[in-house]
Amino acid sequence: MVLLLFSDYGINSILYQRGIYPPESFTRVQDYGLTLLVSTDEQLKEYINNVITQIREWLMNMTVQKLVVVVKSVHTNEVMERWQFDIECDKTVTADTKRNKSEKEIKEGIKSVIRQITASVTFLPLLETACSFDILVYTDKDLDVPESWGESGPHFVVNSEEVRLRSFTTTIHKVDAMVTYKKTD
Amino acid sequence: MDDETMDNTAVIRMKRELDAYLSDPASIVTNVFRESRPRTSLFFQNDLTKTPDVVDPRRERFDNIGSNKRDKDEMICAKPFTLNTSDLEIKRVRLDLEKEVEILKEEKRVLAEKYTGLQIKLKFVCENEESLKEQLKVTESDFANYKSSQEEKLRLGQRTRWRLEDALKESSRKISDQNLKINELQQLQSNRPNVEAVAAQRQLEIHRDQLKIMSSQIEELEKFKDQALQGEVKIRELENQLAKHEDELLITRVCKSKLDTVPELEKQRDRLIEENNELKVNERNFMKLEEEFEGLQKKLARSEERVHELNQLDIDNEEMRQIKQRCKLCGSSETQSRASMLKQISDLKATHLKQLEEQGELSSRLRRSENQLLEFQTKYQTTQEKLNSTNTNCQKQADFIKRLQKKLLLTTKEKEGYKRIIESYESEVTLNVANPGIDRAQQLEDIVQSYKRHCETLETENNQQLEQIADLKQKCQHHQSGDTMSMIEIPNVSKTSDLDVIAELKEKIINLETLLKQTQTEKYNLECIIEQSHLQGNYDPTKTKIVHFTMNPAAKAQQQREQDLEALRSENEKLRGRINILENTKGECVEDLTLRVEEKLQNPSPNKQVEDMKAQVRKEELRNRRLMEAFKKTSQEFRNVCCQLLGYKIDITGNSQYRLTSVYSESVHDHLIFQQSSAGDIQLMDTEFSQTVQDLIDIYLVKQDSVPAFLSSVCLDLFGRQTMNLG
Repeated sequence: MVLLLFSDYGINSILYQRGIYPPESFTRVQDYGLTLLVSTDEQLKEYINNVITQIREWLMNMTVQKLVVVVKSVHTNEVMERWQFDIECDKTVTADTKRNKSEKEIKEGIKSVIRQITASVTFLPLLETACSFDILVYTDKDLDVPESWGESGPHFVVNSEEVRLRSFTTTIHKVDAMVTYKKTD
Repeated sequence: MDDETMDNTAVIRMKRELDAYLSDPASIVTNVFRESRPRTSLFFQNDLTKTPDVVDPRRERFDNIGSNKRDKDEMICAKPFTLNTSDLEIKRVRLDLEKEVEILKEEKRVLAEKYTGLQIKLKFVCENEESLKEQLKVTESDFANYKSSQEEKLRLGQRTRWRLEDALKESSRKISDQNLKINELQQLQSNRPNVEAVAAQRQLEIHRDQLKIMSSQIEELEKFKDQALQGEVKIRELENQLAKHEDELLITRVCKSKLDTVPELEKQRDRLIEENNELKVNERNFMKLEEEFEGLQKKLARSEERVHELNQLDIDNEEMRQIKQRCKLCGSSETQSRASMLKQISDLKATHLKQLEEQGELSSRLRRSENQLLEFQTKYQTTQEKLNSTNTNCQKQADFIKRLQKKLLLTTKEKEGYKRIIESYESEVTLNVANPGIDRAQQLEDIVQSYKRHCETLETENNQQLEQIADLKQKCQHHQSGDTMSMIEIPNVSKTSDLDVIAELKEKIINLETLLKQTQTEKYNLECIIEQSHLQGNYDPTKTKIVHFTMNPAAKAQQQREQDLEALRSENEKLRGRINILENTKGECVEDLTLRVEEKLQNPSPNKQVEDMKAQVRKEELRNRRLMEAFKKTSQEFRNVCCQLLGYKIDITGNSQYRLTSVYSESVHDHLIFQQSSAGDIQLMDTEFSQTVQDLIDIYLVKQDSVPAFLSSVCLDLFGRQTMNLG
């Protein structure tokens, strides 16, 4: 699905742009008319694939509300940044409904969001300490999760600044992107 | 040098040609003018030829007009000036050319120096090449000689080796044969005298010596073999050097071919420089000629303009001359006609002024009349509107009158009807009845008259109200552009009450508007807060939950960090141990420092052990305390429950003795004591209370041997007593 592909590229571009993994561990891929960077680290790829396969199942059941990438400092375990993607599912859509939006328009929307993620480096503060990341998923309360998944807190950013980014729609889903980062005094 | 002289001669030749060209300025000017300005040259020539005949009238013309003579003189003077300018230009051209010549000379010197440098380099390279070639030949010859010598040596060595090997084989064969012979001899002739043995021994020794010689020769052979191997290695090295020399040879040949092409390139370069210089000169000359052409064109245009002006002046002059002739013919009346002319002119001017004044007055009158017209038009419109309104009022009045007339008719008809009724009553009724009928009639007439008066008053009121309504409507029409509701006059009947209501409503409206604004601002603020919380990631915990993969990179990084910290702490402790040991040994050499450190870590110092033990003890004490507290709590709870359920409070008095006190006992001292024997049997001890319940003891303990039954019977008995007492 287009949304899952966007999630994969979005997570990889965030990891590259914020320097969470070394730039030499990324390889270039052409898609959406852009040069996108994807990690070659096997462990990272395995983790992202696991997350995305589970999210695919939840998306089919329309139980996913938000997808959040949290960047935390390794030393202090403090949340430095929070990339949030709100997913609105059109629950009236079934498997037979036809798409009103062309693929080109959807790709343009995704392209603009990924470009904006790349451009956000200009106003985001520099991550001086070594950081790691985690992917959180906001789901319905009554959803059964597999054993490899566990409940977590929201990982808010203390003393934060918020910026809303562009959104795109696929008529089945609407995705709003936003970033919250810690204010630098 | 030949090139330099060639260049110099070319420059000198060019200079001579330029000088010759510049020495004939007249020809330049005439050539230029002939080629480009045929008209002007002719004109100038004509002017020059015609000057003696035409000067006088022209001078008169110029005296009268004043300026054309000076232009003519200027034009006549312009010709030598142009010649002077051409001389200056020629000088400037010459200077420019000389500068260019100097620049070219310098460039040529630089190129010549470069050329000499390149030639020197070429010579050097050729010499190097030759020397390298000679060296190569020498090395090749040496190599060939050495190779041949080594090969010969090899061959000799191999031959000697083969010979020696053959000799060795033969000698070994001989030795074996001789040994066999010796053995045979020894066996067969064991009794022979010692001389033959000695001879055989001598032969043996001789053979041994030969063997030694052979072995030494073999060693020499091996040496030769080594030398041959070294020779082969040297041969290979020399072959490599040969290959390198051949490569260098190829490179030098290529460089040589390139260098051969250098003089041709230089010749081409010289040719191109000469052509370039010629083209530059031609271009400059062309530019100069173009500038001269443009200047001369402008001069031509100016002269044509002047010619045109001159022609016009000639025409004017002729006209004036004709006028003059006419004036001369008129004779003495010149002055009078002039005065009359002046008078006429002044009169005309005066009339012109008067006419202008009249024109101004007429225009002002026109404007005034236009304004008046506009005013009259507006007045006409207003009067028409008034007329319309009055017409409508009249129509309304007429309608009202008609209605009233109809009502009048109706009332008169009613009146007549009533009169008829009255007359009929009068006719029917007798004298006795006449009085009440008449009275009745009079009453009815009075009623009718009152009704009439009432109608009249109502009609007057109606008229007044209609007039008021008409006035209001007129005012509304006048104030339609922007007056507020307050300007409209409310009817006098309900004015005060409506004003109050309106004022109240206005206040309410103002209050509601302020409330609305406040609520809008609050709503906006709340929306902003909600948006901010949404951006921060807030959620409703009753409807959503947050999940994540447990083995995520952040958790892994944290684990890794903890492991690293643990490793660092352990390393730190080890290093501290080492330092302590080293300090304790006071700089002496310590063997097996790492083992000692590990022993120390595994067996920490007594102080540390004591501290650890103390900490453990404290932990255990705390744990025990907590367990005791928990046990007490649970045991107390259990005892309370047992007491409530079974009706007896059980206390342990000691030595496996239990005191049971019933809940329904009358006093605290009413208790039973049981003792558990070592076999596990329970026996009742004698107490004051047990003596009071002896019968129950007999029944349940002695006969039935059931303690629970006994206890329950005691409990029931006591319960019965309690209830009886209470009841």
